[in-house]
Amino acid sequence: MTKAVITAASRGFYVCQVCEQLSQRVSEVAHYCVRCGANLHFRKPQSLQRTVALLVAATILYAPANLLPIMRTTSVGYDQDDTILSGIVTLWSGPSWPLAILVFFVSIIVPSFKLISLSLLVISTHRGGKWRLQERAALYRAIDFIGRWSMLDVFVVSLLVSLVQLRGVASIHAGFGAPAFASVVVLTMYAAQSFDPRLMWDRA
Amino acid sequence: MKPLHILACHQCDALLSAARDRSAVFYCPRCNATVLRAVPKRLDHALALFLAAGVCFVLANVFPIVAIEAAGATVYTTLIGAVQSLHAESMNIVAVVVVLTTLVIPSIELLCVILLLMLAQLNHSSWALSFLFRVREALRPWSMVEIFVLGSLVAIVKLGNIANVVLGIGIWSMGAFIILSAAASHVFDPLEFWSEIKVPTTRLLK
Ligand SMILES: [Zn+2]
Ligand SMILES: [Zn+2]
Repeated sequence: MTKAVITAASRGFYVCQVCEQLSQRVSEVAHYCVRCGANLHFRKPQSLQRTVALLVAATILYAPANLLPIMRTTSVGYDQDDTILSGIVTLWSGPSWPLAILVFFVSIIVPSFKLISLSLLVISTHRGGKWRLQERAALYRAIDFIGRWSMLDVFVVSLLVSLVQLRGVASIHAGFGAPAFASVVVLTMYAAQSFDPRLMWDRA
Repeated sequence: MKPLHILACHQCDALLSAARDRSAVFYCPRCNATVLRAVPKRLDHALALFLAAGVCFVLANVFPIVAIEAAGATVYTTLIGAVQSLHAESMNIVAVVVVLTTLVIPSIELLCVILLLMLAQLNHSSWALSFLFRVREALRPWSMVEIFVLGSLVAIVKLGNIANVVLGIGIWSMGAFIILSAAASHVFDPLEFWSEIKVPTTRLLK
């Protein structure tokens, strides 16, 4: 066993989450950063509970986000509903397979990977232990970095709905998959922000 | 050891001691998070770049993003136009998400950082400085202009075989906005802005 690493919290130091200034805890009252005035906590308050609540909400919305159509194309004599996945299939077999791969990555892989990995992080942190700590730290950073890109399809639908309004020829309308999908992205982003990676080091 | 030379990793809370050195980037020896990036202090360069980005952002919102020509008609859309169409379709959640992530939040973020850098030029260390800084830090992950531009590209490709697509000034301005604000953020490192430790290397305290 190597000697335990000294953490800021163990020595009574708050780390400002905004400007990273260290401040010494002096009393029980609420603390504010001396440099930038942000609220100070040793760890993000109710980190695991908040993350779990947001993850549950996101998981519930995950099904309608993927099963309901995100848009409906109405053309002369035919209607076509597109879900996230069928939109990717159309892109794959039609205009551009490299873009199809990109959209598949950010719209299908990233959200499901995020839900699974965040759950894994919460469970492993709750149980504690040293299991693959460095990998878990890297995983958290990856999730935090890439999560916002899932919003891509929401923007695609917004533009298509706004552009394709050719009366009597063709029009595109948004479906209820779109708000569900946008909510999943926002909720998982909040979930990642609520998770405090320092907890897994505390409980190692 | 002077208190100035001690900092904590924001990802794992390890206390680290910092020594002045010429290394450009410093990673936490425990969890590998980037703890400090040594960027020379050139706040006036950053301000100029952010101002230019601001001009591009205004243009991006005034001019059309894309237009399609089909069945003898030309339809074009702006960012606001896209939000209005969503609202007209009763897709209010989507409309709110789009208007916040591509218009409201990027504007506030840009205003904050421009004001912040102007105040810093005047050597004004006040609560205003820290307030602006905190607002910007909180908003940054929710500013999604670059994702919107990629989305426009996907939309253009999807429409390619239905109609003739024309790129508008709006999308080029957005591209310029992204490049300029990325360059500005590279010059203006928020941690370095606060920190008096300019070029550190560190080791774990045992
Ligand atoms: Zn602070
Ligand atoms: Zn660390």
